[in-house]
Amino acid sequence: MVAMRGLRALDPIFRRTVPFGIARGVSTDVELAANDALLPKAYALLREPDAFKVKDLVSISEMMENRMHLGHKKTLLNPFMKPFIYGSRFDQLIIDLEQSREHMVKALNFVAHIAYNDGIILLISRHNETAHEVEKCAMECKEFAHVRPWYQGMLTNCGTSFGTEIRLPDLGLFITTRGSQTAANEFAKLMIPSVGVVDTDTDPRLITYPVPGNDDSTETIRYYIRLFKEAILRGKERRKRDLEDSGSKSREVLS
Amino acid sequence: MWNRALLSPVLRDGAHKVLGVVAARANSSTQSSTKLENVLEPMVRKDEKAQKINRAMRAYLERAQTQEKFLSEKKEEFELGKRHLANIMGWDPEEITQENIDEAIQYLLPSGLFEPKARPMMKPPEMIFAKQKLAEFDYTGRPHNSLFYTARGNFYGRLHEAFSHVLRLNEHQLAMRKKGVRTPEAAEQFDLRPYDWINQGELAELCLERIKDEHHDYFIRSMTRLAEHPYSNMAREILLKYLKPKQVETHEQEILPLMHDEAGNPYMEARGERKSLRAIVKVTGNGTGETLINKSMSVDEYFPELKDRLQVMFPLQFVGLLNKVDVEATIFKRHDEYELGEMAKSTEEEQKELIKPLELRKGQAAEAGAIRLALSRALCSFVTEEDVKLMRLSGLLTKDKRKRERKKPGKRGARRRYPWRKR
Repeated sequence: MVAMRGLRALDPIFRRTVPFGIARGVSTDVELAANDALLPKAYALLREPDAFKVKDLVSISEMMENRMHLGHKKTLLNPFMKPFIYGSRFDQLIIDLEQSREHMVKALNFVAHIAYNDGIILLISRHNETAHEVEKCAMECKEFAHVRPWYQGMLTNCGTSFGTEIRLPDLGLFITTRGSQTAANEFAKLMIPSVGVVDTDTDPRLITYPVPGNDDSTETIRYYIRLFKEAILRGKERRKRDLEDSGSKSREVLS
Repeated sequence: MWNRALLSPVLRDGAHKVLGVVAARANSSTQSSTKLENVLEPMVRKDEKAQKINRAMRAYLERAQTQEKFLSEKKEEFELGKRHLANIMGWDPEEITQENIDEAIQYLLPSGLFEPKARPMMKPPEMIFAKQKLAEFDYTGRPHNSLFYTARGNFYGRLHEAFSHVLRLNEHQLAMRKKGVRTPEAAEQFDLRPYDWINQGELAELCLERIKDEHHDYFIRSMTRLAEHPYSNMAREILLKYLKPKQVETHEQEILPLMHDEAGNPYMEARGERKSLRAIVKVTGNGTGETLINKSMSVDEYFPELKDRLQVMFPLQFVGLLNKVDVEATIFKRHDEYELGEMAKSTEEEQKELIKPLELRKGQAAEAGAIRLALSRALCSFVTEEDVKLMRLSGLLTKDKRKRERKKPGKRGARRRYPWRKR
């Protein structure tokens, strides 16, 4: 799942920001996917525009209720976030929720596909109030969380930081991107795709699937956790069902 | 390399970026071609038997295998060495135990090294080489622990657990408030006073991870927060995992019961030491305050200096037994005699040394100190427990551990330098 060379070719943002050659020699686990009995099915799902019905998950009214539209003060605007701004009210920027919805659906769809293909999803956040909930969400979906200080080289120098060769995550899911710029850089360097909520003061360039939205309110973050959790679970459930249909054993059963 | 214009409109949708992964794989051999092949065709692998094991897991398995091989080799060497050793020592090679081996090594390779770890040893390889951590991921390389990617999964897992307890206690507090309990009873809070938090090394041992200062600090802060919750007694079990009883230094002095001589007078004997000197003191009750040192003279005669006399008499004055007991003291310079309790082994000259003219004698302060300690110890049997406590607090029962410092090369004494002037 990790070989992102194609992704770089497909995505203008990714192509622009990530220099060639950085990710050379990084371990890839394509063979696992290749041996997977579900592969034809996975391709079939990719043809569908909304295979996991994530469009129904996101509604503008709900986003509004959860204050996703609230940005920072005008002065804090990151110029790269300009296209996603709807306007300003009393100097506070308002995010265009029409665009946010579109991006959120794309992001959720991507997350669900990764989950369906048994990719490793790493939830990252530096929002202290909700850190526990992010970890809990990861545990409940049997995925992974990192809500602690990110030491540089955690992934790019993983042999040293983990003391052994490890399988790198297949997706970085940034519940908040603001405090995790180092982590976002590393994901980009390693050609690992990332999904991230970016506020008006955040640089969205290194995130593969940026979702413009408020990332400071506790209830907004809880809303994101709910959404992403649902997407992951949908992907996993579908995988389980399809595996049962095809008669092959799942990873959990095998191990 | 890639021609974006060739991509179908469907592919441009974000969801289909996943495809790119496979597209890259399928075309990795033909990257130079300008035409994009049909990426929607599933990739067919020729070798169906290809291993379904992740690289990380494979690396772990290889490492485990080499480690096992290494250990078995070392084990063989150890077994052979054991037999050689048995032959040298003339023992039965079949029945040699680890204690025998240690004994033989100490006999054959005697070492004066201070640090026991630095001395020669022969132990089974599993005791010498560190155990390897078990694999933390399954055969696809997916870790078992949800917090694995923090590189301190166990440590942060414990913090996560602790915080879920804080949340549970908060909920309980809210429920109690609804019931009308505003201020919980003091017993609901866990009493931290008799405990100490575990230290950094112990925490690292628990987590099997490298714990830095900042992590330990953060851990203690978090745990203290849990412990200071008004209902923390509910989280008692988790707190006790990271607490150890406070180390209390006990100064319990064993007090022996008084003995009685033929005349029926109570008496007690005790020993004391100071610097290189040792003393045995016999205190007899129902006395008149007579003192006898080395069976020759009284304290006043034996110690010309006032300060030494004060030292010797101070315990008696402290417990209020001045002029009420008789004291008989013997000073020893030889350790074996002290063990024996009498001056049987000294030559006459050595014995004379102890009672030679006062002006020529050295080490009177040490003699007085040794007598003082022995006397204090003996007096413990004559007084109440409360008095013994007071004696301990005033330092009468504490041994003065100071010893003469050795002379160093290049120095006149222990520290004093030879006079030297720049030429």
